[in-house]
Amino acid sequence: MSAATTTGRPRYVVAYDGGDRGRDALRWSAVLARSLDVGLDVVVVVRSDDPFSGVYPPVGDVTGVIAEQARGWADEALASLGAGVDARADVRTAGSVAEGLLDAATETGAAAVVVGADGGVNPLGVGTVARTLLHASPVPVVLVPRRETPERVDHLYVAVGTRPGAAAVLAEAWQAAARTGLPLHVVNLVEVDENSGADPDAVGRVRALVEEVRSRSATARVDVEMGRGRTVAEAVGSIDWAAGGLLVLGSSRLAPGRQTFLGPTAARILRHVPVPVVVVPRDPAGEPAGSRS
Amino acid sequence: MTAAPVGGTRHAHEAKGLGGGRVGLLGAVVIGVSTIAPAYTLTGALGPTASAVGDHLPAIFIVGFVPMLLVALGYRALNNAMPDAGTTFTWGSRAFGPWIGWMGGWGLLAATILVLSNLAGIAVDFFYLMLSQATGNAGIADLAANVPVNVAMCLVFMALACWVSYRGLEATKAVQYVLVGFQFLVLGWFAVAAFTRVADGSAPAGLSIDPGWFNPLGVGSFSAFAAGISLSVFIYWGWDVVLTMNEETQGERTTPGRAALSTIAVIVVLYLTIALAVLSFSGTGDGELGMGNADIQENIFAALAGPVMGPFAILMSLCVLASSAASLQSTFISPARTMLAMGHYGALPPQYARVSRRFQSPGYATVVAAVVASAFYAVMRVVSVNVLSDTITALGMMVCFYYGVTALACVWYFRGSWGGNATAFLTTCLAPLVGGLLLLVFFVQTAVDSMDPSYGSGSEIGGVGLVFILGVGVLGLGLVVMAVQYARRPGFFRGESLVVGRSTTDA
Repeated sequence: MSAATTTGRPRYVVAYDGGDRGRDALRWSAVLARSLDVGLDVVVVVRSDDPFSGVYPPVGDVTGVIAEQARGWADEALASLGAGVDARADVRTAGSVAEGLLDAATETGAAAVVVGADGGVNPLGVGTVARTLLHASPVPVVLVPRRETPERVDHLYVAVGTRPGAAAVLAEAWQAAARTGLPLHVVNLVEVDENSGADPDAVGRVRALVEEVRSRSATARVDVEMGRGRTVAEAVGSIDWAAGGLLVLGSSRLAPGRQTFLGPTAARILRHVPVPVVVVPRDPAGEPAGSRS
Repeated sequence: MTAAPVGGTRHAHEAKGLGGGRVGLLGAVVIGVSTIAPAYTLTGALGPTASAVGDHLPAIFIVGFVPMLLVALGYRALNNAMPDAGTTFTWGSRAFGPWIGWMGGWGLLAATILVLSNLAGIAVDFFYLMLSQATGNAGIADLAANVPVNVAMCLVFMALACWVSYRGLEATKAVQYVLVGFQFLVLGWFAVAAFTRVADGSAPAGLSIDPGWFNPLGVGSFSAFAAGISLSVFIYWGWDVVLTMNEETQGERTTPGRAALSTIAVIVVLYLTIALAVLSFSGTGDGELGMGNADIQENIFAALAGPVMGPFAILMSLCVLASSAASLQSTFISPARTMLAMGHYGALPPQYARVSRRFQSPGYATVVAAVVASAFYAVMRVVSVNVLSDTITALGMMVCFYYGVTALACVWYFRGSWGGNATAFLTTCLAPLVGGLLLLVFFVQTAVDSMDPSYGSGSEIGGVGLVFILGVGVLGLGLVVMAVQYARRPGFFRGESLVVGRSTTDA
């Protein structure tokens, strides 16, 4: 049923609300669409009435009026993407924005959901919708920052630790690199302080991991970079991020089944990294989630 | 809706309900009770109602429910046929044309602005009362009587509630369960404590329940009766939401009916219990704690909670404060949505139809509602000694007016569709016709009576009772605003956005 199977081109769901975060998602999606040859479904979710909201005295449901305006926002979005991008728009009603986005992703067989992650004053670093998606999405979630977009995405990064699960994320990023022909940078971010110093074996373990994946994957340009600093921010800052970079992060091992879930280290990385971040769901079957598209 | 298909948009999904979280019987009753906010309603309306009908309070609470129920049946029929954000405004326009529809919408707006200012006033009283109970300093409670302090605090409450509504934040299921449960607990405690004091002889009046209290024919005059019914229409205002929840309830065949009946039963029993408790405890005399005492009438629990509940009176303060604060926020949604709908159809300037993209709330309309309600409260606080009881009485009138218009709109809209169907005739003609006429008769009677400067609390402007000015004056202002709208944007009044009559798309 999905357009993905009819045209063969993967599609991303773009979370658009007509506001600043929506515009972030839109700008970056345009770049991703051009760079990775994906189609876009711009989705505006209108929140439906909660019967428990206790409106006093009872008045009518304004969802229809808001949906009508939302169709105007969706049109603006399509117009701003221009003709060069394969894009459609969809206005849908759901109990929450995240719920609507995930419904849309399921319906269109989307390969990822793109969401503006700017947290504003939110101490957790990402907005509510992004956070909810990170706790529930069965497909990769692309979190885009409020920054100038590059012309193209031309470097893939993947952050790996040495815990179980790292191999799956690495394999997934590897396939993406092979598919797109982009160079892959395997980064290992570790906090070190004066007392502990860097674990001398870590570099070796990461290289072993890379070799292991290399042995059973398609060819790709790969290098390994070590990020070290007293804090995660410093470790992230010690990497020379390309302007057109895209970082792949794995979900926490705590994620239930095929869902994304951001671990504490990943959440801190997210706050400091200057490029968009793709959080891929944990996949117990070992089948890379991205290969479905 | 006049929405044309928009190019590039694939389709719009209409997914009503809450995914897995549909509403069961208990949930529906909680929703029904939460929308009438019993703790707030009773503290505001018990006194004014008792001053109108004396010890026939229980009778009025039973009788007053009847027109409300009749009208609610019509409301439900219209809501099923034309679910629309504008409710009374849209239905009135479709049945009677743009002019009456516009005034019906104005009546709804005026009622919500009145209730907002009253809610905020009650919240301010209880805020200071609670502070004084918590600190043991009786002087703090008197701050509520200081006009500048009172108005300033009220504006703070209004601003907070407006901000919460603007951000599209709404009470959740858990919050509503806790709020409703807490109100039942405290009101039940209050009733038991009051009856206990009546039994042990420590109540100021200590009356035993008299069957005569239940006789509506015992009310002295039709004027008093009409005033009492207007007020009881206000106290029942809101429960009818359970009638319009058909789509969201579990087991769609039986639950809505049972939920409505259960809600009615729960509310009537609760109101009667409290009415009897207060009546037995205080009587209707004008003694210090009597319901006839004008000083305590407009906020009865503030005066009675201490004598009845002793040291636990602070629970009542918490309960009314929580109830009115929650209602203050949810009441902002009503006028904002009505203005949104009126702006959408061109009956108000287009900025009223503006929706905040980030929060998906009617941003402009919400702010307008807050500014108007705040200004209204501030002026009233200065003009009237008993602003709360006067606004409640005027509010009752306004609800009678717009519910009356709604009910008659139902009859007129469905005319000719009855064709031997007894149920349809009953629910879309007989019930709303009788209910609507009754409410409009009570509206007219109260309007005529309230011209007397001594009516209500006895506040007056230029020899005319303040309640009349609030009730009829505000409707007159509506005529002026409507005329201005017609001069500037005649499209709506020429039927360009809402067409009179039944359309083929209506089920």
